[in-house]
Amino acid sequence: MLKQTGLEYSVPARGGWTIVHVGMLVPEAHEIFVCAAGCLRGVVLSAAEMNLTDRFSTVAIEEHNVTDGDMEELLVEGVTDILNRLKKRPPCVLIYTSCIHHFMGTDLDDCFRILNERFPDVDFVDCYMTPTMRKSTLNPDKMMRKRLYAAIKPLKTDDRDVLLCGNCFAVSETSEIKTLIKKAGKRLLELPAIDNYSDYKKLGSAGLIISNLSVAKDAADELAEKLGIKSLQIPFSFGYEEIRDNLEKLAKEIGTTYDTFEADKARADEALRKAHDVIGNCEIAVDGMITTRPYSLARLLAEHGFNVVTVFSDSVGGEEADYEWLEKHVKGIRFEKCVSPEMRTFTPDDTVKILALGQKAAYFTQTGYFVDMVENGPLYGFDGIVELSRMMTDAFLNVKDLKKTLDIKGWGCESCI
Amino acid sequence: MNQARKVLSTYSSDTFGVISALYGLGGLLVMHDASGCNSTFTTHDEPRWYGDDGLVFVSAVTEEEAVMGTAGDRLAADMIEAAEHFKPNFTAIASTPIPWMTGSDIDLTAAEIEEKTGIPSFGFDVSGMKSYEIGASMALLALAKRFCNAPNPSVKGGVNILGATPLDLEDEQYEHVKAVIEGCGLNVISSWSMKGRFEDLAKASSAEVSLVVSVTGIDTAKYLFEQFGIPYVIGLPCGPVTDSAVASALKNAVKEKKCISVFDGFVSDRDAVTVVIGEPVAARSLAMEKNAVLSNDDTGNISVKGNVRVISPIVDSPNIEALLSDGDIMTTSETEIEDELSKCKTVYADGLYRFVCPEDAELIKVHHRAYSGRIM
Repeated sequence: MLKQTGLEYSVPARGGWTIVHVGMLVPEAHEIFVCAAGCLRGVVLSAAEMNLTDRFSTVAIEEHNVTDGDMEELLVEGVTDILNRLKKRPPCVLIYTSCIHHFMGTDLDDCFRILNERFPDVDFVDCYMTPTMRKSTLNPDKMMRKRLYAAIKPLKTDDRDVLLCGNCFAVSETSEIKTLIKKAGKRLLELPAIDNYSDYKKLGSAGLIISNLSVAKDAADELAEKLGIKSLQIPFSFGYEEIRDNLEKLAKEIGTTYDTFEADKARADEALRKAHDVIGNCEIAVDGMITTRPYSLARLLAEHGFNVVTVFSDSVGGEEADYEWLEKHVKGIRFEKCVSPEMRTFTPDDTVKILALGQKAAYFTQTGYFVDMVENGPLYGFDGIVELSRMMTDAFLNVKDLKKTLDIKGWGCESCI
Repeated sequence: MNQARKVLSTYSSDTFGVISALYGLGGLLVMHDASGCNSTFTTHDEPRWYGDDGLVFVSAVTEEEAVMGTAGDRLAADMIEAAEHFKPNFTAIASTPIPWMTGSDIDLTAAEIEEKTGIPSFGFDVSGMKSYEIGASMALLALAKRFCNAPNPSVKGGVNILGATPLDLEDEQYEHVKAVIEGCGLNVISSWSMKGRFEDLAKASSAEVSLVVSVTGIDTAKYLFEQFGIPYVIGLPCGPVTDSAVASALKNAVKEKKCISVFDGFVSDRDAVTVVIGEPVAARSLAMEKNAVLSNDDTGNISVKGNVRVISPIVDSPNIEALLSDGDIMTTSETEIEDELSKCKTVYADGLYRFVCPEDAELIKVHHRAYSGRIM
């Protein structure tokens, strides 16, 4: 048994969105990565798999740039060359610098000053692919969510507009969030649902910002401060009380009431019961890719009689209560850290059918019976639990091609060739 | 601006070349990197990940470790622990941009691991800024120097396959190479390193000839020639023309004890409207295959003027230039490649080149994992 070694393993289940995918949420924006070949390799192929090569360019850092100290010139002239060669000038350019710029003290302010002078019709946004910061408080994922909204400028506030900040996927039309927003006579703005840059800029009129992911909190707070409006956290959860509390908090903020708790709860209970009738005592594995709250999900399922046997996740961060509940109440449950080197030789029990919730759980258990979704997908609240119950039932009944699914980087993407 | 690419992809890096070349031989392989390298390698570059328990990890170096210079000590401790757990045939560390830039002493870390565990250990001071062939070449040569350093009794008809990695060869291509070797009465005794076995590496010194199937195998071929007098043939059998040329060259190399490139005397036409883009050994082999005119004497020497020319989009290995002829070019410049293709009618290249292929030219897709990864 290895102790807490610092070496890390990477599961070849790549459905999670990278900063390439997230950046592409800014409609019509062009991404330019300025990195070494090894770093470009992953992102350029992510863009290719997104079929968005026409919105993606690179500037390769070579060894001589490090020794010559011309990193600023490389960035400025590289970006200029690319923009001059594009058939159409993009309204927004996301420029991703990398760890090496920051270790070398590259004068990015001056680079962006020059680019702004050369291309006054372009909104340049500084983005950061800095994996050395991965374990820092402001990690690259949080930073990228912040940069998504960097080009938004304050507009005249429209109190009818509520911006859901930091999600990669629009929430379901039937979710309680949308029901409450409509009930209050307001409109929900979501970046994943916007397809042109003009509408993106109109996000600056939002009267309230809400967020439900912890990685989006900094982005929401920063944007709210810029727009001079309030930021409200309604964290994603599978816990009934937590969902209720958050919906009540939202309702109060937008001037309405959340008064369907009992009915929504009953609907979720019924959906879970029906799913359990089909799935029965089948072993279930949950991972931290399908949802940002894997322990909360595992607890919900265990509380409703499902046979949860393993949680694959790299950290418990923020879910200590659910983790402790599972440890105390679910006999024999295993908690596996996906990045542990020992997971490279993890051997699943292939004598029993396993239902996996998430690609990583599916990979480790080598099951074709899995729910294929990342980062909560469109789910939220009790409505999300109902939908997840349906997805679990479908996954239990219909086997998928595991390797074919795992081969695609970025959930929802496809080959461009 | 040669380093700016509007639309083209990038080739796999030297770091990944090291790991790809060593994969499958039972080593504990670590990319000294924060994150990202491992997922890129497993996502795009390593097809064997699914059917094999190859041990590839990242060191997960942090900002603080990089600044304070403590990453090397931690890496050594982690790898010693992992080596004692997994008991690999060897360990290897491949560097990446930040350790390279901060001057991490990869060799020292490898030496410390070897001293503590007794397991042969390698350090590869690559930067992550060059293309894969440099790293793969470096790794294969290091293996040869360490594990194939003593002569063995000659095995009649024994052949080493050098420079075979999934970055350049698909399984079917490898099997075809093997079939061509066996078809001329020879047999493969070691493969470097795709489909190879660790225990066969030492046997390479007993071969009668080596077959170099990509530029990554040339340095190892030269080493085996210089150390043990084993001649080598450069060429990738990929159809009737090259199958025959390689078979003849192998037999001749054994007989004459001389090294042969099947491209010797094969001069590309600078004005040819058919172009092959790719790793130079594969690309030149395919160019030979697609030429209408062939003059192949029984010594394996080709003496024709080719009507297909080659663009090598990898340029870092010093061995590349010698593989090309006057009509070929090597360039990483997107604009230069675009300009060259604008004159072409037929292009043999990876599918990702479609973005710079003229509309009136036919693109015949030749998947190259070192370029488009697992996207097909």
